[in-house]
Amino acid sequence: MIYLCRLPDPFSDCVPGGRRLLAHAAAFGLLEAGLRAEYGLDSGRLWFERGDCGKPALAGFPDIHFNFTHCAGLAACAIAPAAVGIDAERVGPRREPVMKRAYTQEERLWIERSPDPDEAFFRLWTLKESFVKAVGEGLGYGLQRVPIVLGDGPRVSCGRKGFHFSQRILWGTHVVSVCTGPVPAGAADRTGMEEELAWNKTDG
Amino acid sequence: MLEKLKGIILKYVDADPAAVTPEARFVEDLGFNSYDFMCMVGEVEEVFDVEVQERDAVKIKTVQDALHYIESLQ
Repeated sequence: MIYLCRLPDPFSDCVPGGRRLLAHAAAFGLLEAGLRAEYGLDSGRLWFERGDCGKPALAGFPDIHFNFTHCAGLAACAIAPAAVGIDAERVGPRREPVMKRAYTQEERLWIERSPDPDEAFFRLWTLKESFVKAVGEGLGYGLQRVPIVLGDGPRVSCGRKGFHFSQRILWGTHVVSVCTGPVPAGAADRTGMEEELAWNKTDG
Repeated sequence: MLEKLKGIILKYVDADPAAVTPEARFVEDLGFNSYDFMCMVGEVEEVFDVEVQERDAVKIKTVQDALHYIESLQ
């Protein structure tokens, strides 16, 4: 399941660093609520650990995967029975140095030919980020190694077998993308993984 | 050089200026996400007139790491 909540910018802008602290707390709160709702887990009894590349994981529960993201105005968390990565960004002006560094030539062309190039830029960015977060390597994986193909319909492909993507554009301002990896054979819960995780959005 | 880099950093994250010390970690202490970090790298290249390799960029964890790396390129 994917959990999202909108964050009030003016409140959190009152102190330096307040926006980040609020966003992090909100994302963690979403994780706690999700673990309680989906697995009946009490956050007071949970321990967190980090993988080789720093990806947080739930100690003692290898079949429960999660990932956080937050950006200006939004916090989100994804919980899944397989490797999962989630990324959100508020759409703003696309940046040329990032275009050159992270996108293939085909992707750059697709962005420039899109009706809304800035939104297209962040659609691709969050999809790539969700993939590298799902595999647990982050930017070290190399974003150009994740060529994204967005068709006219809802299908998204990165050429890696077993990886599924899901994307939402929220409030006309934010893009959120989720990538789930192959479900391990014998995982207790495969519900919904063949298509996409359910989205649970909270305003305010 | 620290003050110059600090100015760039504070354009990309909502952090307390006092927290931007050489020991500060970009992700854990300053709140950088991947996109902010990539944007900052682009501006560092422009301001310091250097070319940052992606394989090196992902190894930069602290402000001090960034200062050492920029110095090594100049």
